[in-house]
Amino acid sequence: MTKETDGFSTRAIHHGYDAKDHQGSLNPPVYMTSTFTFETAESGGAMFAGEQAGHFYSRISNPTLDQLEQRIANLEGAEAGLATASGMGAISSVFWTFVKAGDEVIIDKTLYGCTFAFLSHGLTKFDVTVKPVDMTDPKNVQEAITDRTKVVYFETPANPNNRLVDITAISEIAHKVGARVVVDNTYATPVLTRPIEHGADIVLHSATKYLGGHGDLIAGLVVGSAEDMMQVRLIGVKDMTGAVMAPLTAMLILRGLKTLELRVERHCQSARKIAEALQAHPAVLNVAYPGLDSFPQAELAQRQMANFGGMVPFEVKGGKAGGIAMMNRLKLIQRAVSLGDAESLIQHPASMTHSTYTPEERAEHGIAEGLVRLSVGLETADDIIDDLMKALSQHNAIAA
Amino acid sequence: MRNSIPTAALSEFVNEVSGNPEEGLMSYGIEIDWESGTRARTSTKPMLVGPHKVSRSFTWKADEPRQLMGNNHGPNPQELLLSGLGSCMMVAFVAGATTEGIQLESVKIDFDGTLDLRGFMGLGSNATVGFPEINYTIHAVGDGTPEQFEELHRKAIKHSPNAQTIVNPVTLTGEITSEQIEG
Amino acid sequence: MTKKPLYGDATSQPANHKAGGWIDGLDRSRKSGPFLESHPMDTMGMSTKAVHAGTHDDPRTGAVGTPIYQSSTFILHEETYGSIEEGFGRDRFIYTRYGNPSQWAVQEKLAALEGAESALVFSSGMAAISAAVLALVDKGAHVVAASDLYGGTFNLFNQEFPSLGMSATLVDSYDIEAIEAAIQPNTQILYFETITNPVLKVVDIPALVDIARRHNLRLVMDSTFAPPPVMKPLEMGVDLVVHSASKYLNGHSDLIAGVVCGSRKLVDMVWPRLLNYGGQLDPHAAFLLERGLKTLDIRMRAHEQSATALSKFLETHPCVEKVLYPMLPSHPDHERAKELMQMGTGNVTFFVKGGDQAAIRLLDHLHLPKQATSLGGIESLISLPFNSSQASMTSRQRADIGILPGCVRLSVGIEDADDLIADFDQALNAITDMKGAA
Repeated sequence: MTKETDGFSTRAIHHGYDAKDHQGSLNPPVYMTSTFTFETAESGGAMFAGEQAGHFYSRISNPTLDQLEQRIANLEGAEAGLATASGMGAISSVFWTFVKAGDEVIIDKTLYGCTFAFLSHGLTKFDVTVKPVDMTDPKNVQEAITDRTKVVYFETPANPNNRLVDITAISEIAHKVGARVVVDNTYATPVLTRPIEHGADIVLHSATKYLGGHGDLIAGLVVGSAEDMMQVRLIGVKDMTGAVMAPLTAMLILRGLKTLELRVERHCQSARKIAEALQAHPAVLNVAYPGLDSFPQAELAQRQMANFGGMVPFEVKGGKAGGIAMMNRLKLIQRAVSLGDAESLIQHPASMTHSTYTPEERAEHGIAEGLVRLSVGLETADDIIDDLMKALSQHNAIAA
Repeated sequence: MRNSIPTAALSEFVNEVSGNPEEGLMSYGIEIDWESGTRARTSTKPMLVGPHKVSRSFTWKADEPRQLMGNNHGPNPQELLLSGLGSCMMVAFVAGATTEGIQLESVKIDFDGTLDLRGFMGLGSNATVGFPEINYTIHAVGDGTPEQFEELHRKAIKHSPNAQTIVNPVTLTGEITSEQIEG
Repeated sequence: MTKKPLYGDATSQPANHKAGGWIDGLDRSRKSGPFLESHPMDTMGMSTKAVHAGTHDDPRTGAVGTPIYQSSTFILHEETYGSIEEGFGRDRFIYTRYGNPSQWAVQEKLAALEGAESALVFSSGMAAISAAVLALVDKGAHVVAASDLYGGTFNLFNQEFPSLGMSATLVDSYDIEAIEAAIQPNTQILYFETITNPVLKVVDIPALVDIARRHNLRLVMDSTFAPPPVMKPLEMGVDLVVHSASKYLNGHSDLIAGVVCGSRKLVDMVWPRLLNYGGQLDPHAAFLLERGLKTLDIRMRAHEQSATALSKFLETHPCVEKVLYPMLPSHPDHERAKELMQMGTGNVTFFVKGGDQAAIRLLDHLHLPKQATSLGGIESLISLPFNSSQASMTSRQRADIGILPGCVRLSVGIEDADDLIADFDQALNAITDMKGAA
């Protein structure tokens, strides 16, 4: 068992598991079970009634998921956690739990495309008012917030352009009206930012990304207070979405978490080097990496992040056509959506992850048509730079 | 594994034989071919451990020193006798120590035997043909007390098949088949 | 939920020794296992055993089914140190090459299904076979084995044995007199397959058992082609049964695994070979195998049903020369099959008129069966021995073991018999028409 003073990786490897309970097995067993036996019929009834702790059905809880939930809660500095089948499963389960018809939610203008679609097109159908504002300035939240606001939701850094949101400032505003602050921490991971420590109420992840880290699963995680997590478990997941994680996936994420800190350190180290190299290249118009002095929110980045992540969005000359042409010349970097994997991945948000926005919305939300989003992998940084430089050396700016 | 003997398996075997004595019946055999002079080659025959056959593909040679008309190409029959006796006592000693939970560091058994060849030669003296006596010393190092080692010594001799074959009268029966060839 | 410490087979304890006694004072006796928590299943039916035997409902959480212990190693404590010192490390968890709860669960299930005291799972059928054989032979040993063994086993005896200073005599498994005549003073084991591949000979197991007993030999049989509930060779007196569990036992063609089943005494002799040769089964594969075994009984019934219907159909088809299915009266071993087999399997071998070229055309016209080696999966698999499993033989050598031209090896899956019959009907008719056209 681990102590609060133990380092991140120590807790990522050991927290919440006692081999004595499991035949001495160094690693937790994977409970590949749908259901659980009751010692007596009465104890089963008591579990259903919530009077007795224990697992009774894997859509509600499972020992392998429980292990993962304890671990991510510990790493995020939260009381409790909850595992879901996907990042979208996490997001939708949280919203279905905490909003009802007539409520308002305030969201940042820059969000992952499917999150944006779920909130702006999905949730609004159920008579929930969704107000997108530019949260880079907390004043915009202050202006939009009302007593009916139940959730304030944002990503930091935001997908795809790394825009940051000041968690402390937003939390202060939200808490005045009793709204929950929900932060998608997929990009930063608890290695770089722990939003709960800055005042957020609920933190969620697409664990498909850095937490799993190997591009071999789809998963979501949520952390927050024990009471909130119990509600999301019993309402959002159990009754509304059914988006429960498979135990084998939980095992693979537990395995991924053990190297999270190592991996994120490497991602950050390489990303900075790559960002600098790109910034110096004449074919590159701009690079939005929070660790660069040129980053508009560099001060907030320093304050809120331990390091600056593995995501490097940049714009090349020639707009969308220029970006796509450059992507097609890459040899090492794979053209694929998703991020946070061992493999470097590159994609074009306007036609891919953020195609759910209209061009007008993209323009308004700061997502340039020529923007390409690079997820820096764990390959040797020089090899990634070499691949980019070769692609850029043939860059034809005539399209501009 | 204490002294490289699995106590659990030893215990299981003992209890198996207790319930099924057939499993404890061992049959051995060797063949000896005369090679030349005093030199002969021994080969083991397949062995039966209970009802189960075990392949025993081993051979060795015995010879006498030149002084005794041989070529000194191998241990002589008296040394082999002592070797068979001592190796058997060793098995009993180590099995007994393991059973008692004694961890051994080293065990050495030193043998001395004096033989008066006048017996073999038929010179009319009072000398016996065989060893009139055999002397040995066991040097045991391990975590047992001197009393435990003394007790172990006593039990090892008592349960060693070869030691008991030597100290007790044994019936030696044999026959010969022969064939006369034209000289 | 129980809170007592969990450490492998709790019924396995060190040998106590009466102070002052000799080795007869040791009180540990051999028992079945090792098992996590043995459910008495002896009186249960095959399907019940298939579902429940060995399946380890986790005592800590009540989780139904065995968790996957995806762990390379286990925390050592007094219990495990003690087991190593006292020589019963097989009954505790130390390291996954030595044993793992996920392996134990499937081992207990396999032991229950085969009626064995003990079982060991391996990373492949060949890993199981080589460990079992080498556990029972000593320097200079000789083996009498079948002349039409599976190719991998044949290579073990033909290629590896001489390098190890051992030898094997291969004899027709029908020829009981020749088998006995081949026994030499240093012969230690007889090695045969219960049902042979591909001509599906049903071997006279009681006769082999009799020879083995009279000559103090161990009889090892590969029963891959006759899994439980088809046959239970251990009950007939076979000493060790081995399987390629990749076939019927797992049944889903999605893993490679092997198993050795037998008395605890003999399987304990195999265990050190598993440790030394390193062919243990990965816990995840063990989980999948356990999952596959749960449907073994019902799968075998579906295999038999479809294979019987298809065999009967093939027998009546003018394009088919001969069908070999042991449960049909036309099979030369039908009487013995009725005696030794509880039911049929999915393996059907038949000979099409027109030889190997016609057989190739037949396979090309079939839609349902997949052209692939292996067998025993839920999907029908079909192949031609002459260009796959027995391709290295000359046509004369093939003929000697019954592989005549036009020989087709079919593993009938669990598809509906009507669909399989319709598919074979159209394919056979298509090649007949082509012959007519030619």
